[in-house]
Amino acid sequence: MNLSLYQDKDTWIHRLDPRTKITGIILIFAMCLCFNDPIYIAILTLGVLFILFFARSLKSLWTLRYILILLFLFSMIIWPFFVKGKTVWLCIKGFYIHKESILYAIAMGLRLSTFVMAGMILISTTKNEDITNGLIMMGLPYPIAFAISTALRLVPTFAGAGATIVQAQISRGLDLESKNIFKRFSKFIPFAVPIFIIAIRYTNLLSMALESRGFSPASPRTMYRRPYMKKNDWIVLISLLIVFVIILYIRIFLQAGIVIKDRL
Amino acid sequence: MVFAIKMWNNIRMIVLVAVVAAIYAATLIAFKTAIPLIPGITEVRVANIFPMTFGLLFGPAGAWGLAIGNLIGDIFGGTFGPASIAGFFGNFLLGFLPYTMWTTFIPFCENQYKWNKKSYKSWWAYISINLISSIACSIIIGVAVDILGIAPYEVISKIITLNNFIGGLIGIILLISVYDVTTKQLGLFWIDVLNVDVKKISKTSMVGSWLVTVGSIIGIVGSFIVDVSILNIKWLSVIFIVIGSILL
Amino acid sequence: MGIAIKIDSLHFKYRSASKDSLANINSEIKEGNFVVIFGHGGAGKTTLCFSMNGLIPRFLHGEMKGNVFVKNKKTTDYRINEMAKTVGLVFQDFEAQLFCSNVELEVAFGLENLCLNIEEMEERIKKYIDFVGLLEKRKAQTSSLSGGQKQRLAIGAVLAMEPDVVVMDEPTTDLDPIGKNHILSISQMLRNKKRTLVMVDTDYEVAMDADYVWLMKDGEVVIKDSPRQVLTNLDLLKSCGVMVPQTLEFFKKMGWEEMPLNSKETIMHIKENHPEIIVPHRTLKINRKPVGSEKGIIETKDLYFRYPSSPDDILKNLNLKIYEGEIVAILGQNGSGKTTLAKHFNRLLRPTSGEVLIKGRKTTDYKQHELARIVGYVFQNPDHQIFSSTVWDEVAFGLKMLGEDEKNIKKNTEEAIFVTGLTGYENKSPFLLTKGERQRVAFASILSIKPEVIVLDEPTTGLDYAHQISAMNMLKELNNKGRTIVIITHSMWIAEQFATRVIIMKDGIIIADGPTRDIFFDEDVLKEASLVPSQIVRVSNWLKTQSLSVDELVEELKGESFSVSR
Repeated sequence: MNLSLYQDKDTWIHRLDPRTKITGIILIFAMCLCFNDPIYIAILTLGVLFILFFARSLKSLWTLRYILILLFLFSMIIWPFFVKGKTVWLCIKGFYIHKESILYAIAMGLRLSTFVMAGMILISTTKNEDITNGLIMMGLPYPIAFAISTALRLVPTFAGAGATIVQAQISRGLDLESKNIFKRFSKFIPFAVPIFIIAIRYTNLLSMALESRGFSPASPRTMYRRPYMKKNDWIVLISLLIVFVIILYIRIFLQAGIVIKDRL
Repeated sequence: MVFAIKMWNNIRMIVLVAVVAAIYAATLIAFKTAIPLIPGITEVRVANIFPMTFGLLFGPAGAWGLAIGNLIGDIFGGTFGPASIAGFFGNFLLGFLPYTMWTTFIPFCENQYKWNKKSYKSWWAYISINLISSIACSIIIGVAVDILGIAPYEVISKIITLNNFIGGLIGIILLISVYDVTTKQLGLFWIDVLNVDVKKISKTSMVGSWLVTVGSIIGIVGSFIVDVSILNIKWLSVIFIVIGSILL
Repeated sequence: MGIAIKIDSLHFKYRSASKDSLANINSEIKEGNFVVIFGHGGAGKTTLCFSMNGLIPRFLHGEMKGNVFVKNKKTTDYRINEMAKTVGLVFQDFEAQLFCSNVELEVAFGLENLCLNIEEMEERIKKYIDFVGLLEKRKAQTSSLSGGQKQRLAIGAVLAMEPDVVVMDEPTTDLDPIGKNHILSISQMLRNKKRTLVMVDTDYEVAMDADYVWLMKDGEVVIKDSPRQVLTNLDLLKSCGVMVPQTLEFFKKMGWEEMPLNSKETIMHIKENHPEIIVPHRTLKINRKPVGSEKGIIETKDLYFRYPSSPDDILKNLNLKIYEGEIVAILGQNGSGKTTLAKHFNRLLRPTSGEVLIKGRKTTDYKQHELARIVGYVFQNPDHQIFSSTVWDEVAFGLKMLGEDEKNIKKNTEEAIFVTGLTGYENKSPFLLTKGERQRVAFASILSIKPEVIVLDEPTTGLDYAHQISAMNMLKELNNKGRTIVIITHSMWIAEQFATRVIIMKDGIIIADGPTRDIFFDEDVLKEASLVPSQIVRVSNWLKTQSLSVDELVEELKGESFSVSR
């Protein structure tokens, strides 16, 4: 079962050092948090879309279109109730809708979508190993990185087993559909128990295989595929940093790009 | 907190982290979009049957596994973002509190690490700790999500609490089903894997338990009160939970 | 030649077990030797393998007496990861021993643990990926490999660490025939390179190439000798619950003295010493009883299937009719579409186009629970369905889901438990049973619903010979009572001896479909699907006889007329 959103292409973004991409994505997240004016965030959104285009990964974004639309709608509906502005636009039966609230809601919808898209840049252009390798080089202890990468590898295996379990229980007459939340959880038990047991039986086997291959958490080890920083990496990092500094300047010194003052 | 760090020297515990994370992530992904209560952030997460069982059986490996599993769920689900960090810590607590509070949450606790379905103390501990850990998780995620502008604290904290709590209740059936085979046949009870001696419960961890509890209660009560300055209550509650957890 | 492995009065008992898993084992393996370990399920073969690199007693705890030395290293003096340079261990489960997402990284993993530098790693990766025949797949994702390729990768990754001794624990058991042959040719190459090799296997054709065969029973090694000495000791093999070479049993029952171990030798001996049984034209002595009624129960019409996410058809224009009372075996390589086809019978999958009719009605017109009562589907791995805390609850689950009343639930559950020989297990936890017993629980849980058709996916995989026979006899019994049985299998002899009809699939198409004897006579069609009949059927084909098993062949050649219901 292939669940990964990784797109096996060869673009300059794919070729960047994973550390560059991880740091870059964190910078982009931070930029999104600087503004809550929809126009300013929209500019960032466009920028991220451009990067995705260069990474030839718009396709994976397309698979998430429903989630993105729902996120946006949710944000639009919920925020006006909780964040109040100054300028009243509408008054329906004693309930005021403020101009700033609406703008903030749009901004948050955009911000959330941008988070997802930015995350997508990393996921769709970087192999799992490279992400963990990058994290190791950034100081993550190897045992933790190993646990993460093993988990990433096992997810499709267990998802496949899960699909078989569902079929096996359906074959015996189990009907998974239910509206009631308690029933939903209860019907999950004939699924949860077998997947738990199968996976846990695996644990001892996996640990034995691991030790038999000479692995020990405390021992030193070398790294076969060591990423290294190239010219492109530095260019990307420095330009993102410059953009970030400019954004901070706009926000802090020009006080622009915000509609609601006391929120990020 | 000691075991949560010490465990990284034990191969079986490391593999358990990976396996727990993979089960959690696989079910999160497989049952995603079932009923999107709040799309992308919380759904009716049937996978929340697992955390109590993982925490009680695998101890620190359960906690790290849930944290990493949730992160992977975000990555495969395409909803990876700054909120994933909060999800990481929230789900960590979901596995961390059950095994740390199990013997320290006096008087609602057991005097030994084992789950005993014939002892009322075990049931009492399970249900009360399930409630506290559900709330603590929801507060950590709720606060972060609110700051990031993803969703308001008042909404998200209640939904997550409810979902976690109900999942945990039904999860008792799972725990009873798998307890014997995991501890006896496969020998994967965390106490046995890490060779932990059952020692006297320290005062600090008892204080930790209660700090987390108090923090959780004021946090969730705060989400019902609209007029009070919620900002402060939220932060107070977060500080209590964090300090309490470190003491555990 | 030096001694590679020395085992000195070894005893081992698992912590929770009541009796010893290994008892008084004394053995030596010389450098460069190839040893094959034989034995029934639970004989202690795997435990013995684990003792060779210290997993026992360092990882799996228990009581150990005696010593194991590998290259003069006492296993208990070293940590397991330190032993990795000396002993390489390949496991049966190929999924559990792969840790990385692509082929070269997998091989690199062990080398990284050995702290090799990049140049050395590069050299070894290339050498050993080539050795196991995966050079073209070097950059491929591990998840995209077939089972056989994964196992080869696991072997390559172990070999790359260049251990003095290689131990393989049933590396071919979970594989299809093609995958199996690849592994065997690798072990052949290792043998030519004079590597010390210890291999557990259940297939006697593998053992033929060994220097020594060890036969284990209940934790003890009962005999260590050359393959011919061990494999021709029929009584001993039988008492150890191991499948006996068919050709050997055939000669013995004919009262002939020679001891052929495969069809080639058999034919040679017949030509030389028993030419009287070779006749140019053989008259049929079998009275074929008609099997199956005229009534079709499952029918597919122009069935096409593909997964929504994939562009390729997995099933292509299948037209097929299965009749009441048949035992149908579906054969074919992995990926030929066998399971995909079978999952249409109870609508776990829906046709992309065309239709599947059950009792003349389209599966898509049934409610799922109605179908569950007609077609029961037993999955390959019982662990994919068992979740209840007692055997009784597990077997009764389906009936409860289908809304039967208490009385019926009790009656049907009791009956299913009885038929599967699980009486006395009702209140036990199914998780604590052995694999064979769990398989029977899973089977009983379908049987209790009393479906008219029972579909079984690989019902004998992972069972030892004795359990395979008893499982198949149970199915035969049910068939006599009127159930229709559909088996998906890799096991040739099971299809030969039990099926009344055989369907062969390749790349989503049925390439042959007919009475069992006719299908197995046509070795060319079998070859097209990369299938090879069992040794005895190859002999039978050469003799142009009708028989499909040793007993039938003996009877037929002795001239007694006999009847076979297929």
